[in-house]
Amino acid sequence: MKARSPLKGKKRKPAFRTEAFERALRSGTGGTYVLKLFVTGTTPRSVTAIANIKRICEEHLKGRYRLEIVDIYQQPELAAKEQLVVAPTLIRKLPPPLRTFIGDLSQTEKILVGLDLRPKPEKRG
Amino acid sequence: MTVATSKAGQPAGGKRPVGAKKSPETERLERRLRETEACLDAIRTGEVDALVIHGPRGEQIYTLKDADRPYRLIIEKMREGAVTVRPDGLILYSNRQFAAMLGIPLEEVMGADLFGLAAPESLEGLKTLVEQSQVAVASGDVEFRRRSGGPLLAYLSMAPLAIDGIQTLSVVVTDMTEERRTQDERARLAAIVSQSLDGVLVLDSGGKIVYANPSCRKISGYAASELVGLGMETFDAELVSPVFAGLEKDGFWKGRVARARKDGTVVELDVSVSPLRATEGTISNYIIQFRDVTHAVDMEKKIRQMERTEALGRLAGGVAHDLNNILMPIMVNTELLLEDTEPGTQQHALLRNIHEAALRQKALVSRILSFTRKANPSFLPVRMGPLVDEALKLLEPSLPASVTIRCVANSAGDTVIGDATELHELVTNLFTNAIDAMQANGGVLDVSLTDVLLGEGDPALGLGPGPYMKLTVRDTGCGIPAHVLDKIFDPFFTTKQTGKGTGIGLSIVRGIVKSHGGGVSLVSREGQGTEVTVCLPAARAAAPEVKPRTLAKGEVVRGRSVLIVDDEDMVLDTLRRAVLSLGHRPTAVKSAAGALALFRSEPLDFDLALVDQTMPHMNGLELAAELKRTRPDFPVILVTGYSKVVNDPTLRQAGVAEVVMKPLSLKDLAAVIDRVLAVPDQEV
Repeated sequence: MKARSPLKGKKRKPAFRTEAFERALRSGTGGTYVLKLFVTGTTPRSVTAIANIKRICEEHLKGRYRLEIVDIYQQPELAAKEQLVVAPTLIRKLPPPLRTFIGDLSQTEKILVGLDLRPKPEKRG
Repeated sequence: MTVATSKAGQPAGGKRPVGAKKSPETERLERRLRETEACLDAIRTGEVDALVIHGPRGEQIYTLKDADRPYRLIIEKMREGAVTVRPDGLILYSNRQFAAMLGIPLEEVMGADLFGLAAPESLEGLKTLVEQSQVAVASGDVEFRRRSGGPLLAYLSMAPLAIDGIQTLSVVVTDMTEERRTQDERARLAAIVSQSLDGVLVLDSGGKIVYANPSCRKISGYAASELVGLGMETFDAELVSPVFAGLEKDGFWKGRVARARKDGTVVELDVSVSPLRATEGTISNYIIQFRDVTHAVDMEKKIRQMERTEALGRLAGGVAHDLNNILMPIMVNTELLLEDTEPGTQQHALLRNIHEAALRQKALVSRILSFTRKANPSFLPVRMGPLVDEALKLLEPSLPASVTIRCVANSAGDTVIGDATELHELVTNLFTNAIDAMQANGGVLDVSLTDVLLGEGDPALGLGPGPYMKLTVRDTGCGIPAHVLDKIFDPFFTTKQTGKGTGIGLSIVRGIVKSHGGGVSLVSREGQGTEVTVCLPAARAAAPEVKPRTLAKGEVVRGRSVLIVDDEDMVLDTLRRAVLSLGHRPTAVKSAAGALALFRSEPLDFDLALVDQTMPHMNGLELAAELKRTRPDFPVILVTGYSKVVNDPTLRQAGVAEVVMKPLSLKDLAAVIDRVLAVPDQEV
C-alpha cells in the first residue's frame, strides 16, 4: 500500500491536495492517461470491464487518454510482461505510479479514486 | 469484485534490514503471504484446473481449461473477421483478422468505435444494419477505411447476442475488397467489349461463334442470337485458310474485307483475328474484331477524286494560257483580214467563220480557266446583271439546240459586294447544272434577277433583315429525287453519271454564297425541274460604271507611239499589225531587256507600252515597274493568258494602267488603248 502514502500524507489538507492533483493533470505527461485492460475474449466480465472503463474514460478523461484492450487469448505475449494473475485486469501505465485494478471495473467510485480522478474519501484509508 | 492493489506493494523481493527481529505478528503475515504467493504461482503457472468461488449462492466451480475453448479457437483462427459490438458502436471484442483487415493493432481495435472505422459514405448503411440486427440477423455491404487510407470493402453478417445481460451484436466480417475489384475489373472488361464500336466475335477453339457484341448487329445487321453457333466458314469460306495461315505464321491476321450485310448492302470491314490462349498456352478461343470502314473508304475515294480535280485545274490553267497565246494571232489576224475584205464576198464569209470559231474557242478556254479557283477573293462592288449576261454568253457555244434561255433582269440596284471571279463561277455552276438537267429532253432555262427586301430576314436561309439581290435559276429538266435532296449540297455528291460531274458544283455554290453573306435554297421535283434561289446582300452604292471612256463620241485616238513586248514571235507580230491597223506607230521588241534598253535611251519617244506578262528572265510586271521607274507617268498595259493574274491587286499597285486577257480582239485592243490614253487627257 506504499503507493497510496504520498496521498495519505496530504490527507489533512484536502484543498491543497486537489490543487496538486489538478496541477499534476496539466504537467508532465500533458495529463494523458495510458491505460491497459487485459481481458479474455468475450467472457461476461471482460465485456463488462470494457464497457465500464470506456464509460469512465469518456466521462472523466475525454480527449486525454489512450486505452489499449488486450485479449490475452489472442495476444498472450502482451500479457506475459505484466505478471498477470487474473483477468480482467486494468493497469494504469501513466501517469505514475503504476496501478492495477482487478475485476469488471463496475465500482466506479473506487476506480476514480484509484485513477486520482476523485479525492480519496476521508473516512477510509 | 474490484480490488485495487499496487505492484510496488508486492512484498516479493522486498529487502529487510539484516538482523532485524521479527515479531510473531510479522511472522504470521509473512507465512500467509508466502501461502498466497504460492497459490497465485500455482494459478499463474497452470497447476490448477479449477477455481472454487464462494458466492452468495454457495460455492461455484470455474473450470480453467474451459469447455468453450474449441469454439473460441474457431473464432480466433477463422479467415473472417469476428467482432462483438455494442449497439452504440463500442467494440467489445475483435479477432486478429478484423484488425489485420483494417491494418490497425488489435489492442486499438478493441474498445474502438465501429462507426468511427466506417467510410463516411457507408456510415448510414452501417447504422441501419446495426438497427436491424438488434431484432434479427442482418447482413449487408459496408466500406471501412484502412489505416493506410485504402478502402476495406466488407460484407457484414450481424446477429443479436446478449452477454450477461449486456445487449451486444456478433458480427462476422468478410473482406470482399479483392472480389469487388475482380468483379469491377471483369465488369469493366465486359463493358468495354459490349460497348465497343467495333464488332467483336468470340469463337471457341473449333471456330464456332460463342459471343457477338451489340456492335456486330449494328455493322452486320445480324442479331447476336443469329450469329452464335455459326462457324467462321459460313461467313467467308475462302477466308478461312488465309486466316489460319496468318495465325500460324504471325499469331494474328488482319485484312480488309467487303461483306454483305443482312439487308444486302455491302460494307467494307477492317478485320483482325487473334487467338485467345488459356494459361497453359493452348488456344481456347479466337477473337474476331471488325470495324466498318465503308465511310472512310468512300472518303479516300473522294479525296483522290478531289486531288485529280485539283491537278486537272492546274493543268487547265497551263493549257489555257498556251491556247490563249495561240488564239490571239488567229483572232486578231482574222479581224485584220476581215477589214481588208469586202462584206458579201466569199473570202469575207470564210473569214467570219474562222473568227466565229475563234470566239467559241475563247469561251471554252474561259470555262476551263474557271477550274483554277482563286485563294484570296477580293471584295469589290460587282454588278450582277452584266455578270449573268457574260456567263450566259460564254455558255452559249455548248448549249444544246433544244434548250431556250429566258433571262429577266428586274433589278435596279443589282450591285453586290463580292469577288467577280467567284460570282462568275457561282452563276456558271448554276447554269451548267440547269443545262445538264435538260440535256436529254431540252427545256427552258429561266434566269431572273430581282431586288427583295427581307424585313424580318429569312431564318431558313440564315439571312438577317435587309435588302438583297435575288437570283433565281429555274430549269424544266429531270429534277432531283426527293430522297437525295438533303445531300445535294454535300461535296462530291452528284446525281450525274460517272464522268459527267464531279459533285463539287453545288458545294462550291454554297461556299461562295456563304462567303458573300448570302443564302441559297433549292426546290426540285423529279421529272419537272429544279429551282435554285440565291440571295446576296445588296450593296448600298452602285458599282462604278465599268467604262471610264472620256472620249467624245466618234473621236478616235490615232498616231501614238506604242512599245510592244512579247517573247512569242507570232503574238508579237500580230500585236504589231493590230496596233498599226488602229492607226498607231508600233515598235515591237522580243525581250524585256531589249525593250528596257530601247525605252531608257529615248523614254519620251513612246506614248504607251503593251507588255506580255509571261516572259523569260523578266516578267511583264517587273518590266512595267522598271519602265515606270524611268518615266513614272508612262502608261503600261499588261497582257496575260492567265485569268488568275488579272485579279491580282499587286499588279495594279505596280502602276499597271490596265490588265487585259488574251486573246484580245481588235476591238478590245482599240478600246483599251483609247481608255488608257484618254484618262490623262481628261485630267489635264
